[in-house]
Amino acid sequence: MTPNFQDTAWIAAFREGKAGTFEQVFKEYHRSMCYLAEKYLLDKEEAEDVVADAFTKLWHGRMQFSDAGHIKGFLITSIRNACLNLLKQKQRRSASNNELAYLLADKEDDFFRKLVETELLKKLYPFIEQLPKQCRAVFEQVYFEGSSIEETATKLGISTRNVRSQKSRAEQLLRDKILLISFIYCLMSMQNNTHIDSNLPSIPEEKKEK
Amino acid sequence: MEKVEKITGLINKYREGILSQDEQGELDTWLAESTENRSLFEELTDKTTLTDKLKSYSAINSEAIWLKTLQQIGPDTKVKRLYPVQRTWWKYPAVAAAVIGISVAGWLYLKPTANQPVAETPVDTKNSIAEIVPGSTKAILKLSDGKEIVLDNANNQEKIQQGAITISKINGRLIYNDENAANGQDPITVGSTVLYNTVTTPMGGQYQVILPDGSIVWLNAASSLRFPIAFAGGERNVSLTGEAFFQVSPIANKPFKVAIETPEGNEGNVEVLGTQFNIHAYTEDGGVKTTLQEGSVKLTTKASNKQVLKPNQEATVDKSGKIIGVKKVDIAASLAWKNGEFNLEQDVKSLMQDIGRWYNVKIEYAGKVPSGSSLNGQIPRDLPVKEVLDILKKYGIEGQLNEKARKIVVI
Repeated sequence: MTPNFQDTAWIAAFREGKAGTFEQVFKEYHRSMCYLAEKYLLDKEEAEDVVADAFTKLWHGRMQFSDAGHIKGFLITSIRNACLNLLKQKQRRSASNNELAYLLADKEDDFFRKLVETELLKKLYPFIEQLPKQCRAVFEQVYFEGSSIEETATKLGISTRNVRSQKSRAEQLLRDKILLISFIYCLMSMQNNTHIDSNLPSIPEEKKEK
Repeated sequence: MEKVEKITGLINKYREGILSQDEQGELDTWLAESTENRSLFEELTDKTTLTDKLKSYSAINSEAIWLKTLQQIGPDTKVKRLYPVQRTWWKYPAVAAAVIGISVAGWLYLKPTANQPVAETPVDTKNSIAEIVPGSTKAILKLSDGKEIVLDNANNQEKIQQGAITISKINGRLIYNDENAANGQDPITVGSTVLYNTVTTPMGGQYQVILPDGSIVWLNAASSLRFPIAFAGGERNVSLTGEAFFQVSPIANKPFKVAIETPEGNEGNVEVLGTQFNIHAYTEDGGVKTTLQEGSVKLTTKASNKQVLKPNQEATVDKSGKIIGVKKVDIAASLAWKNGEFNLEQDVKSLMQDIGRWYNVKIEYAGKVPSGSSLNGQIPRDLPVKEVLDILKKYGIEGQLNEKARKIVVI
């Protein structure tokens, strides 16, 4: 449920720090902001710190905001600046000869492309996030970790039959979201050892996976 | 920003195969602007790279970022807990707790289950000394037929069937699911006997149980909870030794009752309809403390003294069943254990007992028990015991650790 950030009552509550509005903003943007920071810093911990700093500043300065676009813009700008500062510091410390690396990392076009990538993932992620819990766990094992059906079953402590049925369910659910057709199709063709089974919710027999 | 959205939209439509001719033109123009644009486009439409990117996007740790943010913002009451920032063992959606009315009811079910043996973690192996480590998520489940099942934090899902009740152990929690109750039928009993299960945590253990009515119980170390596998009849009766935090699902006309048990027998009862509260009933700490976070509870001691508690109140009952004090407390401090912390805002003896139970070590005093009046705050429970002792030293409480004998001597 995305809150209506444009709503004037919402903005008023946000400025007063009320009614979980700050938490809503956090939920909405933290993931994409952290992804953006990771693109710059290539370090998970540092990226998390930078994002936490940006949200802290947002909290303390919440009175200045009058619309949602403004909030998002503020987060993006703070994160970009913080990342560049960090890179600059590192550059000094390492006294590396390619001293322009951080500047190269900040050409407007490059920044733009980072944002495009982040935005696209932000659009796709909810489809995975909204999968039922076990379904998602199976999906992540199979598609993200590249585990076989058997490995997934062992890791999650469920039967291979259950893995197969959850996998089909995940594929079905994702396919139903028209948006992901090409994505899931790509994934499935990638798993060439995978039996593509589009209609049945589960495959009854224990087919041996290679 | 608008342009970012525009291009993202175009790429997404391309993936879906629904680009119009005009849009294709716009996309082509952008792609022709630079080779970097072209290569980004290829990355984002390539199955392998896109999957990798989605994987890192999914792997972002919301909880860590939220925790870091909260730490910087500081104790600001306006910001609430967004993620369960503690361990996974209490990761569970909150059940709405409701304020309740109170009904007087006799305590009918009072089959004492005292003298529950508390499982001990093995203290010594033959040659090597068992390392002293912080407690973890572990417990023993005793089924109605006496069978015992070891519970730990293993990330496995195992189901145990007891009649119509499915017991799942998931990520360090035990969940009782009553299918019949869900179907509106009577809970299952075998003949007229209600089946009981008991979950017991050892020293250095904690565990979370979700009862068939959806109530959640967090068991602290060296504690046990006995409960029927389904709540038949007009009351929900459970019994406790040690310490637990209860988050009771409100069910009208079906009060929830906790019988507080100690080796000496029943120490009293707490009756609720829907609420969140903590019961601290370790025998060695002397007395029983009941702390109410939300809702309302009624305490009946074995000497038939009664006390209704309001939120943020804590009642202390002595061994004779006398209510020796009802006071307003800092809830966060009283519930520190549930949040993975030791509470320093208590007397030194109780604090040291907490530490002993968590690291599974004995506590001894070389002389008098230090006053510790300057103590305040909390210490995380997942620190090595030595670090905890270092912190206490700064407060003037010096504990010497004897690893071999598994004890701390306070001087």
